[in-house]
Amino acid sequence: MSRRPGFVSATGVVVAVILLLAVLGWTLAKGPVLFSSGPLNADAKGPALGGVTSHAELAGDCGACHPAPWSSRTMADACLACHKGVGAQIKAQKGVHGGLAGMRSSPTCRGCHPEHDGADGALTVIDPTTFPHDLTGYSLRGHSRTAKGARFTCADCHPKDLMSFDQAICADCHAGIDAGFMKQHEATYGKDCLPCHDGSGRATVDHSKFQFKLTGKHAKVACDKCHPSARTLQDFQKTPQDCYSCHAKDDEHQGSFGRQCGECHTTENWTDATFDHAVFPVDHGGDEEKATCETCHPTDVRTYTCYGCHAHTEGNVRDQHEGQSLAELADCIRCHPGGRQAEGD
Amino acid sequence: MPRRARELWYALAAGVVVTALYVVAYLQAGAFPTASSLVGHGIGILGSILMLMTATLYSVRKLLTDARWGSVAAWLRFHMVTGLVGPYMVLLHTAMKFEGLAGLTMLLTVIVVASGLVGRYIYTAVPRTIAGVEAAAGGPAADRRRDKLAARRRAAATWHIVHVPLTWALFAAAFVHIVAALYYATLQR
Repeated sequence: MSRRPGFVSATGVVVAVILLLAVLGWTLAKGPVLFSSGPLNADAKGPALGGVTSHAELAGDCGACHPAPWSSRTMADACLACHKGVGAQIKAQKGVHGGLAGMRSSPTCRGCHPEHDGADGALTVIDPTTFPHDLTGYSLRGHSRTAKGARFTCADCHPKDLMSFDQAICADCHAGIDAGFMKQHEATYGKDCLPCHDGSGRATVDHSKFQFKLTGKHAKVACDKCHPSARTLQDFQKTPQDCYSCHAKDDEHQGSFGRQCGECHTTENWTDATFDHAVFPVDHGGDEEKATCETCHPTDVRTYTCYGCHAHTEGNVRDQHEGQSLAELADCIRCHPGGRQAEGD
Repeated sequence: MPRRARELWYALAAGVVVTALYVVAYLQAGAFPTASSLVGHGIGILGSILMLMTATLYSVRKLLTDARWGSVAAWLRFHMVTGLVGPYMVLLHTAMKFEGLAGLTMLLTVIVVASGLVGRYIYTAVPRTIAGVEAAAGGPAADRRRDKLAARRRAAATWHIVHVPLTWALFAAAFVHIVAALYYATLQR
């Protein structure tokens, strides 16, 4: 086979070399403009950044965004050199950009912000299904498909721009789905959706923000059990926080132990009441009869008497304490703390 | 016009399959899949491979004397099918954007394919008429046919001068385009 293949051509090599030299020459003279895939966005509505009001003004200066192959600068560095506000967000780990930068595999700027799509090309292209919307504090779990079955677009909730949100738009859709429910719901809870609705599909309130912390069983109670017929934010805020306001009907002691339920009861369990009776040993007395609360507190827990047991009668107490009247002997533990013998006996 | 044009039917069938898959991708994306997307890149790579095959394998086959590699006519058909489907895939890869060097590469592709189609028409027309005219008697009609034939032979030769050298230019431009596109669109972050 001494013949050459048909594609071997001296003319071809010459033409190819001429073309390569032309490309090289053009690039050296004008920069890598031959490799641009389209005009830059010409939106000039925002303030001037880096000396220009639109990307299109950078048209011949490829290096403004595209670092040279031998440079350690990245394209993100180039973006943030002009978009300092975004850089500040990222540094402070705040806002959408701060949140995105903090993700384990954080996206690059160009992942959402394409270019070279013409003067009117979109500056932000986000796939609502992949954008980590949770970073904004609102999940899109409940908003993938509209009531009609179509996919949600960003503009459905952000008609003006992506960085702003007016929650009046919630009612626009939801009143269309169930007007009766919305009317009643807004009447009960007001028009401020976001404090309760975080998009996860359940209405939740971060009650830890408020003075009254929902611990134990309180966390599982439905909202309207503590806030019945609350109609406005003020109604919620005026909810009484003392135990007795809600638990008066649960008081088996019928008020005799006072209203400071929290001294014995916790939110874990209503029936397991405990009380640190440090002031006096509760196992006071013999084995014949265990003392109950009522033994020493026959009427209410704020008062006590030692005369409940046969050991202590008015008669023998008076005999033991010569020279003092019963009225003076009412507060036994003043001299007999813990039920012990008094000093000096 | 060639009586049998099997290669055109094969190319059409392959083109229909490629188009159907591309339409699915178009509908999923809601727009032309961009050249740097997964579909865009993939179709560009496959189209370029077909074009490399069309530029080399037929010529290599013509050098080999062994018939076990298949007939030269079959390989010519292979050359024409890949030479039509490959450029079609590259056209889809462009997402209808013809900027800068990428646009020049597409233009060269179109010229090379067009020159190939012209060459196919002239090339298949000339041999049949030569035998007919040579065998015929003399006279002004026969002379006119011989002149026409000579002109067509010259045209055929011209086609061959355009088709191969511009293919070199095309692949040179494509190489630079691929390196630049990978750098700017894929690697640079």
